[in-house]
Amino acid sequence: MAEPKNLEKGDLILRCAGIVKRFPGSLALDHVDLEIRRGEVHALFGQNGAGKSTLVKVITGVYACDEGYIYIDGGLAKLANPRDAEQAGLSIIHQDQQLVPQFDVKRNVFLGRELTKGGFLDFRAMQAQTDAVLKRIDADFSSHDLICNLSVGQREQVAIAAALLKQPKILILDEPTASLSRKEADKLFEIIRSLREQGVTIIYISHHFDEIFEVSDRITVLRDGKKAATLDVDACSKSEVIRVMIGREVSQLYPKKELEKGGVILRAENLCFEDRVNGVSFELHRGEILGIAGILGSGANELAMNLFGVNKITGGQIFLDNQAVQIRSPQMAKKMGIALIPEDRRNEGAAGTMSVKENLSLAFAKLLSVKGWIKKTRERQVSAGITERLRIKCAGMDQFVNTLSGGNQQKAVIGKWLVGKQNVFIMNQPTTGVDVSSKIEIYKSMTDLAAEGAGIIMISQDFEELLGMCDRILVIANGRITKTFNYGEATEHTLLAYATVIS
Amino acid sequence: MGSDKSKMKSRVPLGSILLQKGTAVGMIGLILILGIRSPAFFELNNLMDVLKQGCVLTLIALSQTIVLIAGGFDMSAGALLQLTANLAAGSIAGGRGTAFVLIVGLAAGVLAGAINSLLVVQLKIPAFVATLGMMLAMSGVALYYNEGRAITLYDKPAFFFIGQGYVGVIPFLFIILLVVLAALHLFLKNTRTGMQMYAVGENEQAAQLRGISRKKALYTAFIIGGAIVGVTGVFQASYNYGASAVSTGMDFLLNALAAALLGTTYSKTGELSVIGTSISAMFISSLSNVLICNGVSNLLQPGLLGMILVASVLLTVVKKREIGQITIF
Amino acid sequence: MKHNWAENLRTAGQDNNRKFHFAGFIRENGVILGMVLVLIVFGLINHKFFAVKNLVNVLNQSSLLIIMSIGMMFAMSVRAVDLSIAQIADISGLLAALLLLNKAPVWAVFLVPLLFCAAAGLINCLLVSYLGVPSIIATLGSMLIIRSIELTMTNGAEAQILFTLPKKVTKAFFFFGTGSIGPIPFLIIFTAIVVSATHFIRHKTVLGREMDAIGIQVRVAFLSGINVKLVFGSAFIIGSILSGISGIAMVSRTGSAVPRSVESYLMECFVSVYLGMILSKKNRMNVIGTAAGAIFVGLIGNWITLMGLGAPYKYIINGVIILIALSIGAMKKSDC
Repeated sequence: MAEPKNLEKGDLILRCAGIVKRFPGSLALDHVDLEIRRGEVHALFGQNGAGKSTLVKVITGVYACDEGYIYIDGGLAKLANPRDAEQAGLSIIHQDQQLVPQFDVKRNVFLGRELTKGGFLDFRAMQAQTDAVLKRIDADFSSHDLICNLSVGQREQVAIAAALLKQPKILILDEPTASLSRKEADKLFEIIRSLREQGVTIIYISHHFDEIFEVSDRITVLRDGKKAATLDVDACSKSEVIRVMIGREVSQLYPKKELEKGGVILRAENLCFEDRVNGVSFELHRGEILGIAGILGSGANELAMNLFGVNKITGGQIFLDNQAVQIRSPQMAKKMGIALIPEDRRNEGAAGTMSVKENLSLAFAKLLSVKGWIKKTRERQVSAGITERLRIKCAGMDQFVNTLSGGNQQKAVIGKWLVGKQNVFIMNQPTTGVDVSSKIEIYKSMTDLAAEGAGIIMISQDFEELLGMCDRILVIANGRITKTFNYGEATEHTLLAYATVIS
Repeated sequence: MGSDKSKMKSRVPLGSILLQKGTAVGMIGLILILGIRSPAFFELNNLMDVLKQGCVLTLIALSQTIVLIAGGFDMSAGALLQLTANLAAGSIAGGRGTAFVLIVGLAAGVLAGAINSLLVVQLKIPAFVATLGMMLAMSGVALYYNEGRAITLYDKPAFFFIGQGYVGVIPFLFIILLVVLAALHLFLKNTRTGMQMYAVGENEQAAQLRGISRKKALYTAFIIGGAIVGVTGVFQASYNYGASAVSTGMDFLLNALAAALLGTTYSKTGELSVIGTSISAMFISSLSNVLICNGVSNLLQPGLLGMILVASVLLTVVKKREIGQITIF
Repeated sequence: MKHNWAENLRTAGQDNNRKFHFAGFIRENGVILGMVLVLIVFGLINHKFFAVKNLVNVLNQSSLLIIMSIGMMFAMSVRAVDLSIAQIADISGLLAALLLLNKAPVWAVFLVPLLFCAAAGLINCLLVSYLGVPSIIATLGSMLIIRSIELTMTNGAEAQILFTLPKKVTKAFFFFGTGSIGPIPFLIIFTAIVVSATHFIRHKTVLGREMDAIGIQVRVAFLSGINVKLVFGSAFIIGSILSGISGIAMVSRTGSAVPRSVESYLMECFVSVYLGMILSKKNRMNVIGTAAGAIFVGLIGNWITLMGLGAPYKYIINGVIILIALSIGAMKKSDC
């Protein structure tokens, strides 16, 4: 390793050289180099667990790196804590924009750096500055709106406004579109472009191809903690990026099997829920994987909650095995053979401080018990069987689930429904935050379930996996089905087009 | 999109206004109805008495509120009140001056607050249990100090003025309360530290990401809270002509907690506020007065308070339909 | 995803601690070692402390706290508190005494108070579970209401004395609290039965497992098709019935019912439950630990009495113990 010397102040605004970060038992960053040019939008791209967030944490001073140097504007930077990074001109907007919902916009924007006059808060000055920066990003709300009255997209803009007020040299956006609708995301891209024109350097972290191609100038792809490549957006193709990212061909990702379709197991007729779901009808067959493609706010999430009895439908009819049924609660849904893999794994799917075994027997403890007493050996056998079947990697049945990786947690969530004989599986974003190898195993378990005669509804915003896995794909927008595709008919482009139609 | 939503929110129908303001409307309505039934309640002297009676509870409720705002919880407030009331009564009986006992009360309160916050912040004990331990310990110290006997004071006009005196027609204690209330309101709404305490209590992670120290917020809250309760103990001793032997701390604590929680129903966002707390605390303490004026047996008063408490909270939670879990431990 | 950031920070900082095996050992077993150590030291200071007769006596006295604390533990294991628990024990004993004084048959003396407690528990259950009132407020409300009922029944807290009644009337009732089978007091046997029964309910049944799930992550439990409201509310009913039993036991043992005399046990219940939680490996509320915690609290109280020290010391020592125990417990928790 070369002596750390101050470099020429020039084209590069940020340079990381040979960054190494070790965690107990793993090498999170393995000699990563990163060069960010002044005034560009630079995307950091990679699968979950590729090291993107660790690298960002090193850059923003949250983690100290074990080896390597960081230069800002040519000068060697010592970033011991987030405050150092902020002073060096780095400003980050986190994935879940952490705001105080009961505060208004100006209080949030200035949180932690409030302006005072004579010891008291200077609301007038804060309001003026906030309004100025809101105008700069062309926001449609004002500095005295309460956060809890703003949409997710507007909250993102509040976070950007807060970051901009610090006059950063480099603005880092960590998965900013994770919870935005298409329209809100477009607005965000507009803001990013205008900021670039104003001379702000932007690092953009994402694992969505489309976004990256839409907004960035250059891409650095990370894979397994190493830098795989830095590419010019204009000079590379999507497939090239994907190949670099996963290190293999895409087709190997999806273990899709052609299966004989069985009878109709679930039929929905003209389902309505408030103004979120407006007359959805479809049929689900045994042995079928039915995809539902919808962006955030499309009503797909609400539909899943309706089918599982979390929210009662306000109109229409559900049929199970051709019998009209009323699903009033998750308990009823469970009894009728329906399973839900919820979207928010950490808060809705897995109980973190319960063991793998306890999580697996959560839904069907009754089946493992005689007259209310849980049979220990039976529980152990059944959960060991599921652990093996789904290849849940854990130190033992008694390990707490929150110490497992995201993929293995998700397998445990799926596994809890395998104790009973469920035959309709509703999987809402089953692979978010899951590493590639676990993804493949989850896909495989879906194929297995379908082969056993279950019907699977797969809701996802990751259109590529829908294209790879589903026998049919329903596209949903504004609570209505806008198009149905059979396997092989659609492309990511057509799905997106139908998912974003304006009613 | 979002602005449409907020516009919709401002056009709420009457029913949900009632639901939102249900507690406030109910409280004031109840006092009015009971007051009109018995004219004695609305006599100026009686009203001033009501204000005076409510001051101690309101001050404790304010201390509880400020701790809750920063995301803490203080079970020990009642015991601290008992302790400083005893210390004050004992010192006055021993011939010390009023200024001296006020300083003793304040110092004891600050010390207790500091220990509470150390336990919560440094040793990371959940606030509920840490202050529970402190509560037991301080009840013990109070009992040790008074040897299980009530301390009664006679003929100390200067000391009694704090808790019993009037400036014109207004009780002196009520003036103190107004000053404390105004200062706290200003502090919480218009200073950096105050605002940051709210932020820590509402969304700790957001606060942390912005470099706001949770520790500082909790230290500040517990120490200010402790200081208020410490001094209030002295007022209590003055108001009561001494200190009782049996512990009344628990009742004060629970009523103060109820006042703080009822107070949240006054704000749009369900925020804790010192003003909401004060109104609710005054309501709770005037309730017993108005019931006496109506000739209701004081044996029934706890029960009535209980029902009103549950009913008024019911009005605000009935829409949510979640289960009544709590997250303080 | 939400807590990723903070959690990573924590795991990053922790691993250095693992090297110190001694510290780890203390962290794992510190509370129980500390408790045993305290008792040994106490025993050395006062030799009467370890006399078999004394220990049996303490166990007998602690039965009330053990059963009541287990009741509280049920509420706390679903992440709630039941502030009405002591008041319910109080009124249950009072009802039993009043029934006996009014020459009710023995079965009614036991059954009627328990039915009343079950009803009170049901009301708590409806309020917290089906109407959604925060448990701290709902149970505070029912505590106040029950207190009023009690005061009205007894004209402002008059004690109900039973031991002046003819022996014939009280014999069967007093056997519960003062009788013995062979050398062992009946109350201890009864408490042992209650502890093992509740242990099975809490840790070996579907209901208990579902309570765990609700206490840890209620949304997960709901979306796993668990009847969250029923299970959550049932914790309050079980708690009320248990505290009702303890109230009757208390009156049967002491021979008199003094209104509001059980109220002070509320805080000791919290202490027992927390001690019990820290004693468990997984840091969960549990029956055996709670019982051990209650016995420990009882032993401390007994030692203070043996030493001729008064109530102040009891409060102070209980307070200090809970703080020390929790500091060690907090160290343990941050490790996993």
